[in-house]
Amino acid sequence: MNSPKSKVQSPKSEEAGRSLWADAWAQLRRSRLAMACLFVVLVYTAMAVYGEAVYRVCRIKDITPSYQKQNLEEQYLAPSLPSRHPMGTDGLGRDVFQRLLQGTRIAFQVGIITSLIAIPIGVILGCIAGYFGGKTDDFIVWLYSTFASIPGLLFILAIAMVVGKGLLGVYLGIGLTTWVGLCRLIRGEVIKHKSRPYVMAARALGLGPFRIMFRHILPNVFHIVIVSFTLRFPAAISTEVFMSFLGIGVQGEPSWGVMISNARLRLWHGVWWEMTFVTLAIFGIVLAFNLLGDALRDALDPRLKTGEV
Amino acid sequence: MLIYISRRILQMLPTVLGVILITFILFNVVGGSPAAMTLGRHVTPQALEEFDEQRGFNKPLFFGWWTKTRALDDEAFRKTPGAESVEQGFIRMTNGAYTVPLAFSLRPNTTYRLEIEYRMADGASVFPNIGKNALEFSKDWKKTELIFQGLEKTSAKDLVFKVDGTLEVRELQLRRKMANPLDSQLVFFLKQIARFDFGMSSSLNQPVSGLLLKGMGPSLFLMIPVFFLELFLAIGIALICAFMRNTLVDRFFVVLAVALMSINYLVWIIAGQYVLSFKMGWFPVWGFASWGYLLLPVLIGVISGLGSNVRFYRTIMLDEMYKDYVRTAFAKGVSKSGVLFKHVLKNAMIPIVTNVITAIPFLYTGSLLLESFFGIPGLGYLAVNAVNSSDVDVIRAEVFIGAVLFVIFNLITDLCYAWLDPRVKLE
Amino acid sequence: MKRARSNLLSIAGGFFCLAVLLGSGCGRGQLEGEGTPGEMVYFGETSKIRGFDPIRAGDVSSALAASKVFEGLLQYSYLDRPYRVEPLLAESMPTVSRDGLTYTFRIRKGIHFQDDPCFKETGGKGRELVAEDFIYSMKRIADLKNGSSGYWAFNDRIVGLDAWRESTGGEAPSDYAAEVEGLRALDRHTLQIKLTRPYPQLLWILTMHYSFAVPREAVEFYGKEFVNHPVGTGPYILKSYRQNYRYEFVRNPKWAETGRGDRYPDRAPPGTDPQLLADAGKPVPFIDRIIQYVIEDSTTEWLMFLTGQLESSGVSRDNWDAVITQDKMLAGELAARGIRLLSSPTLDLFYIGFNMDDPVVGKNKKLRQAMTCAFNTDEYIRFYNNRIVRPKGPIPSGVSGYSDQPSPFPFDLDRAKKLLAEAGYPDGKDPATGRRLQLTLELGSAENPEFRQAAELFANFMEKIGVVIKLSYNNWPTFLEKMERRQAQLFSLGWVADYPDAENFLQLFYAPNSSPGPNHANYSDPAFDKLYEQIREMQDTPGRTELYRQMSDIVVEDCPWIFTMNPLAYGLQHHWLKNYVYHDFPYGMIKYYKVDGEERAKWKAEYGKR
Repeated sequence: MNSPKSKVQSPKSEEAGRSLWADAWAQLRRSRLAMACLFVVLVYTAMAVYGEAVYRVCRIKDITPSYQKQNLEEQYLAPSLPSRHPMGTDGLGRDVFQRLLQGTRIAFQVGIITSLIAIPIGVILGCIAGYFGGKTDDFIVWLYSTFASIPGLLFILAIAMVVGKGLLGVYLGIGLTTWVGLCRLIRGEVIKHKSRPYVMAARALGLGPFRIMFRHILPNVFHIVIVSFTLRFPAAISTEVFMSFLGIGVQGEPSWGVMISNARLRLWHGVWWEMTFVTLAIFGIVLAFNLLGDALRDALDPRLKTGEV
Repeated sequence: MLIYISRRILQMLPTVLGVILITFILFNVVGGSPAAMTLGRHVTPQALEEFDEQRGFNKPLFFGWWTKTRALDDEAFRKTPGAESVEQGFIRMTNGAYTVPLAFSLRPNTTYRLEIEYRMADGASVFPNIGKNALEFSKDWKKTELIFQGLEKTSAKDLVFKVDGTLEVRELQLRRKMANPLDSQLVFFLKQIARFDFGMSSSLNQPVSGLLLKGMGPSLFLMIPVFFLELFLAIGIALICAFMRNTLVDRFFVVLAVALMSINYLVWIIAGQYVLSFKMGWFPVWGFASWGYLLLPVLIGVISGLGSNVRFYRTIMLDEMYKDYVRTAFAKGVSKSGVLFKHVLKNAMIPIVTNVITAIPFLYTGSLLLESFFGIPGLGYLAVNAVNSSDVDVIRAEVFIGAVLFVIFNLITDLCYAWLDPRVKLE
Repeated sequence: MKRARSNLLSIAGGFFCLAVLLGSGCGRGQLEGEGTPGEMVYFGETSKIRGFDPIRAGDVSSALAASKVFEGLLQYSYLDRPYRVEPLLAESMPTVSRDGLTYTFRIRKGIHFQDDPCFKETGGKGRELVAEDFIYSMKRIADLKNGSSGYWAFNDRIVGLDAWRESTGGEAPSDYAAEVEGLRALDRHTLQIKLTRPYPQLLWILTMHYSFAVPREAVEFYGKEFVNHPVGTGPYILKSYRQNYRYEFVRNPKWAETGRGDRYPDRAPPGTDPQLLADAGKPVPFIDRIIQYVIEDSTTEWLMFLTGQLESSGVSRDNWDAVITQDKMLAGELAARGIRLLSSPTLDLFYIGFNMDDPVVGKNKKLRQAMTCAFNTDEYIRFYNNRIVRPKGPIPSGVSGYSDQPSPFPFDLDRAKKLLAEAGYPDGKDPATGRRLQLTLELGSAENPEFRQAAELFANFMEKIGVVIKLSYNNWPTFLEKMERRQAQLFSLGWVADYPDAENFLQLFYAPNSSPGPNHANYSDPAFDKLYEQIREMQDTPGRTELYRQMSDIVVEDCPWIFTMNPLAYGLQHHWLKNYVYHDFPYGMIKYYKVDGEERAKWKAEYGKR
């Protein structure tokens, strides 16, 4: 992780870093549960990539994708194997399995894009606050304690409401409200690292503060970012499902929340499949990420246990 | 102690100001006036202006002399190609009088500013009804400002361009001058907060403060039982786990906790409503009439939060178990349960209390989903409805009050610490 | 012109409210404990009630709620078809001057407002209703400070009212003492309305909630809280409420006290169900207590109904085929519960509009015609489980001017493709880009899955001829804003008639009514506009009906809208609910309904909570 070309060799951290990652990987390998979770995550990722591919290809070829194809002749077909609809069809005769794949795509999109918003904010502000201290630190601490004091879900809904419905609202709502925990942790770590010899040495060599922060300190606290990512991913997915269900989130695309909302209509009449498969899909990915996140945390930095990441 | 308290209260102020600023930026700067959505579609600009006047939306955001008026929408003709009166993104006027209709008469004794981006190769243009004279010649696009007084009703309903030659206009803006540059939306908002006036709900046509007061009861009815049941259950299970650390029981609960955490909240609700109420008929499906109606929502509320709480408390207790004094106690021969209850639980109390107290303010907003699903007319239900009908004032008030409560309860936690542990004050 | 109302309906996908209006109750005996049988009835509402101030009741459920408490000068006669107005608070129909500009109403004597603390002078006793009350109420709706969405009904119609409205802007309090020439009380019980030009629709307008009599004392006493404290002359008073959850109305004791004798109609046109006349001439209201719940989620409501927690329900599209058999009879279990199914056509019109300002769809008549031809009527009707009819033009059946000629653009894929090629998009390909033509359909809401699916179905139809429809969901306000700014390309909207007159539909195509007016398609046709200006001042004559037809033909040929559906109102009704008949404007009509207490108790014992 640490660049070997950097002028200042920080052997201690380099070594520690390497062994930290190697150790962690070894520890993960030992845990069958963690490997299983990793496998599940990879399967979901493959599904999402496939969904994205289908979506893109249909866009480029300018055809209606199969998950949107309606067929009123095939309304509410129960799942059966072997058949064209292994998971049955919904009220408009659309294939539940295809829609589920698209739901995975959207869930991953939400997980990744919200992380791309929240993690850089958290990391950059955390580094700056921790490294510079003083007035800058005061300001950033003030900023995140203000954000932290606003009730989370309401804040997300409010942002989504102001920005407008649809995916953009979901991205910004989740992304802009969930960087606080990470920022706090990074700030704490950076403060600790600031007094370490390798940082002192770098400073003595006259390196600029940003170079020190991002080239030298950041690699040493990067495991926090990884753990944070694995743990916030399922949270983002759950929030998206919730928002789409309420009609604030994704629209016109088969997101899991939208599917649950549609599936609920006919549950009473015994149409169980759409609901069941979607909930299982959500359960699977969230569980896998949660367990993997735990395992990673144990492997990388057991001290993080009680902290919110 | 008093000094400490007052210092902490002072420290609290910036956060409250921050919250005010963030809600203001979110709703006023990014959001803007809800007039159009409130008044419905069949509305005149004058009615919109009146609405803004009453709610302060026609003032500058932070400060400033000039503010928008709905009498004339900003017209950027270059952005609306295709409309018939417009050629290549601008309006051309040749020899004659052209009227730019104003939606309503300008206020008397008020200064206005008209900004024109124009091009005029020859001739002259005058504005007879606002008493302004010729625009200067300009071959290239040029911006100019005309400042004039709003006139009495009779003549000011329209702006008349009297053109001799050819005038091309591609942008037109009208601004009103404020009597006081500090008379801004932010100040208006601060004044509102100081009066505990949270505005009017646009979807329910009533003062927000009343709605909040009425909604708080049902929310608390739902959330207080959820809160306490969850607390006791979670701590209980966490104690069992800590007590039987690394046994099968502990593992079982840990896995169960993660599994519970991974089930989506929605699923709990839908499954609860469908299976327990509908299929089994154990609970009413919907309503808020007697305590019986709260059973299912409370149950779901507890179960859905249990997983993460058990994990949290277990971790805290295990952290304590590894500390020296526990080892010493064991070495002294204190029984396992004695250690657990006398030492561990007591010392784990501080993080537990923090967690508990800071969770209290979140009780007030109730549970968004539980309330809207089970028809509990609390603040969560109100919020979901408000989001769906873009009821800005309600959401703003709920966000703001939630945040302020959080800050206050944080303060209380700190004071508790200081009271429990005098060393804290010295920090 | 009524907007908010049409909006809400289109949000709900059209059906649900209607189905529920149909005498379906969302009550729960179990919630209330057992009262004396017949003493109360539970009626449910699915949309939220936005307070009781008549001038702010822009949507159906709020207007219905307000109409239990407040009354206007006139009302629709309950049983007469075609619809007709009759006096309510007026003694008789007004005398109209020969030029059609002056209407004089005699107001009934001895009508009192309900008792309320706001009547301080009389120590809380409700005072008598006088002509000034109507003047005050109409000024209230004109007052800019009140921001009422209903001023369209009087805008530019009543002499001096517009000027008075102008004067209410700004900081000074509105001057209610100022005379308005067009609104005068000739004596305590005589009201004179002077119009700026003939306005034959005024009589319909005067039945609406915007014209209800509101006592000034109450408005001033309660201020902002007036929305929660209705004080009226109507058959019921609001006894208690919990916002967004439950409203309880009880019989207005003032009626008995003052001996007010409003009666059930004793005449009905031939062909009326004789059972509807069983109570002819009896004093109304029949029901003592009404409980309303706000259950916005249709699935929840349906579950409650099935478990017996609710006594009845509307039927949403999605549950339809499971509940109703092929021949539109109730399926087993429900039929066994003694529930009847009612259906009736409505005056609601749903459509997909083209923005005629849009460079692509607006200037290309062939394209619009092609898309109209591509709209698969049968499949759409099947999607709605036969609960709609496909309208042929802007005038729905049941209103004079309706034409039963077949549409000139019926579903025909080949013709649609041909028209599309003629429009410059062979196989949907846009020659400029080489890709399929992509159009954006703006939708007002995504909360309702049924609404969402209907839009997806429409996209599917268009895809068959190679036109790609991008669905853009907005929340209601953003949708409106896009309409107002003419930014939509296609949009999906509904229109609920304000009154049963074709003029109310045709004005939607009148060029001066373009956005932000109700003509959101921004349709403009000089010939049409000329005809419209002619008909809007005409009294009901065969000549006017003929003009209506001509105007309708112009619109159908030009296709500024794809007319998607006239919903049929369906609802489930219990045999113990008597005197119920469907009405498009059911405001205040709850006073005619009756509950057979014994039968209801029997039914509850048998089929209540299982």
